[in-house]
Amino acid sequence: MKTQLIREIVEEEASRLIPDEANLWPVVSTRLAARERRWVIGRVVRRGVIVALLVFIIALLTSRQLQVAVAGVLAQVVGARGGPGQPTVFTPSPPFVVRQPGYLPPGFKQGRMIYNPGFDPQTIPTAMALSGNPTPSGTAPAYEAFTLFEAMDKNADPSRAALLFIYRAEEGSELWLYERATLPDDKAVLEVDEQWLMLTWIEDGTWLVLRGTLGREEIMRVAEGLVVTQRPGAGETGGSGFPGPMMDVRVATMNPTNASIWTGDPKLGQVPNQIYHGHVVVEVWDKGETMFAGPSDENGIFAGGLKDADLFKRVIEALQDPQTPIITVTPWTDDPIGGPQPNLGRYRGRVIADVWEKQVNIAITGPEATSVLAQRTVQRLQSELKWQSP
Amino acid sequence: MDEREAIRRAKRHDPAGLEGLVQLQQQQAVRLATLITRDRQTAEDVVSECLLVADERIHQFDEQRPFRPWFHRIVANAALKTLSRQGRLASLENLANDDGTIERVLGRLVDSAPDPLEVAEQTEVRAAVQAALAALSPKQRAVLALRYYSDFSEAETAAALGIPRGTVKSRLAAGIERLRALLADLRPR
Repeated sequence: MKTQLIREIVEEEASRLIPDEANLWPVVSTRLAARERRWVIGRVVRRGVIVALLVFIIALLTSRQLQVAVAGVLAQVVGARGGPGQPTVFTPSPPFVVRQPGYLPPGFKQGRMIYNPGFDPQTIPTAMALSGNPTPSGTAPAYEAFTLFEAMDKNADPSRAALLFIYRAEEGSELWLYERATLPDDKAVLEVDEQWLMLTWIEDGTWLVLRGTLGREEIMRVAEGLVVTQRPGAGETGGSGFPGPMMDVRVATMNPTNASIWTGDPKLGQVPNQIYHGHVVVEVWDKGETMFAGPSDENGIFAGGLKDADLFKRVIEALQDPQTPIITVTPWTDDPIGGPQPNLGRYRGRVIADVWEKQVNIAITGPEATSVLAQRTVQRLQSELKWQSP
Repeated sequence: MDEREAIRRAKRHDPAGLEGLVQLQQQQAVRLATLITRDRQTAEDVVSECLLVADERIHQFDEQRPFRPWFHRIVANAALKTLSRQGRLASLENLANDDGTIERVLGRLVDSAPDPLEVAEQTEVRAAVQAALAALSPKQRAVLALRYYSDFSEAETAAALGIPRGTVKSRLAAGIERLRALLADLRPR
C-alpha cells in the first residue's frame, strides 16, 4: 500500500512537472548534425596530423636542413664531457672500451672529436656529437663526420657506435684515433702511404685505428700509451672518474636566409629530361674551406650508398673546363651559411654545383675572384678524393 | 517504428533509428530527469545529450534487453552530474546531511507511529507531498525516481547509480522519512 501510494505520488509529480508532450527531436537532430560536423572535422584534423607527420618524416629523411634542426634536439642526449687536457666521457656510453692517449707527441693538442652513439641508420647522422675546431658550425657536420669515419674504417656503418679523436700540432701534423667494437673480420694491420702511417689492432674487444703523419716509433709510442677512460655502461658520472666542464659539443646552426641551400633539391633550378645526381657546395675562407655534398635522394643519401667521389670528380672536371658557364647571381645572400667562423678568417665566397646526368651547373659568388674560388674548390675536392680513395 | 527496429537502425548509424528512440523514450526520460533536477529546461537538455550518448554507445547495448532501464540509468546519472556541475548537488546534499537524515532515519522508520502517508490521498496532502519531494536531496530524488517512477528494483537502482544496495535502502528511507516529517503537520489532529 505504502509503495503503491509513493509510486502514485511520484508519477503524479512527474506529470505535474511535465504535463505536455516533450519534443526533443529538433534539438537532438541539430546537435546530431553538429556532432557529425565535429567528427568530420576531427577526421580531417586526424588525417591532417597523419599527413603532416608523414611529410615531416619524409622531409627528415631528405632534408639536411631538417636533420640539422633535429640534431639540435638530439644533441641534448648525445654528448661528451671533458675538458682541455682531460679524457672525454661520452653519453650515452659507447658499447666498447674507450681508450685515449696517455701520451701525445710534443705540441699535439686535441682538435676535433666526433662521437656516433650508433642509433638508427636514418637518424644517426644527426645525432653525432661533435666538438673542437675546425668543425665549422653550418657545414653539415654529421655528413662530414661520417665521411671521416669512412676514411678510417671500410666497415663504417652509421648504425654502429664509433668515435674519432683528431689531434693536431702547430706545424700541421695530425694524429687520428678511431675506435669501435670489434667485427669478425677485423685485423691488426700496419699500413703506410705517402703521408700517413696507419696502425690498426684489437684490444679488449675494441678495434682501434691510429693514423698520423708521424713516424712509426711515435705512432707505436702513442698506441702503447693509450689508457682506458670509459667502459661500456659507464655514463658521464658512472665511474669513469673524469668529470669536467662540457666541451664545445655542438651541431650545425642555421642561417635562415640561406637555409634552402641545405635541402636535397637542385640548387640552381631544374634541368628538363635529366636525372639529378646531387650537389656539392664549398664555402671558401682565408684559412680553409667548408663544404657539404650529397647525392640526390633517388640515390639514397643515408642508405649507406654515399657516392660523393663521383660528384667531386664531375665538379672538378666542370670547374677545370673553361667552356662551363658560371652563374654569378643566385637567390642567396652573400654571407656564409653557418655564420662567421673566426678560426677560418674572412669568408671569401661560395661555389655551388648541381650535378646532373649530362651536365654540371655551377654558381660562384662572393667577394673573392671567381677564378680563385674555383681553384680553391678544385683543390679541396681533390683533397677529398685523395682521402676517400682506398 | 517499434523499439527493436529503432535500435537496429541506430546501430546501422541510421538517423531514423535515433529519431525513433527519441519519440519512444523522450517523455518518460524527461519526466525522470525533471524529478531529479526539478527544472524542465535542465531536464530536456540532459535527456537530449543522453539520447546522443545512447546513440554513440548503441553498439554496446544488447538489443535482447529492454532499452528503457539502460537509458534511464544514463539519464539519472547525467542529471546528477549536471547538478553536480552546477553546484546544486553539493549544497542540497549538505543540507540533507546536516539534518543527519540517512543515519537517523533507519532507526526512526521502525517506529510504530501512525503513518502519515496513509492520509496523503487527500488533495491538500498530495500537494504537500509534492512540495516535500522537491525538498529532498537530488540523490534521494534520483533513488526515489528510479525506484518508483522507472520501476527499478532496489538492486537495479543500486547498479544504475553505482551505489551499494544498502545505500539505496537508506536513501529511500531517508526520502520517506523526510516526507514523513514534512507531512507530520498535516496529520489529522
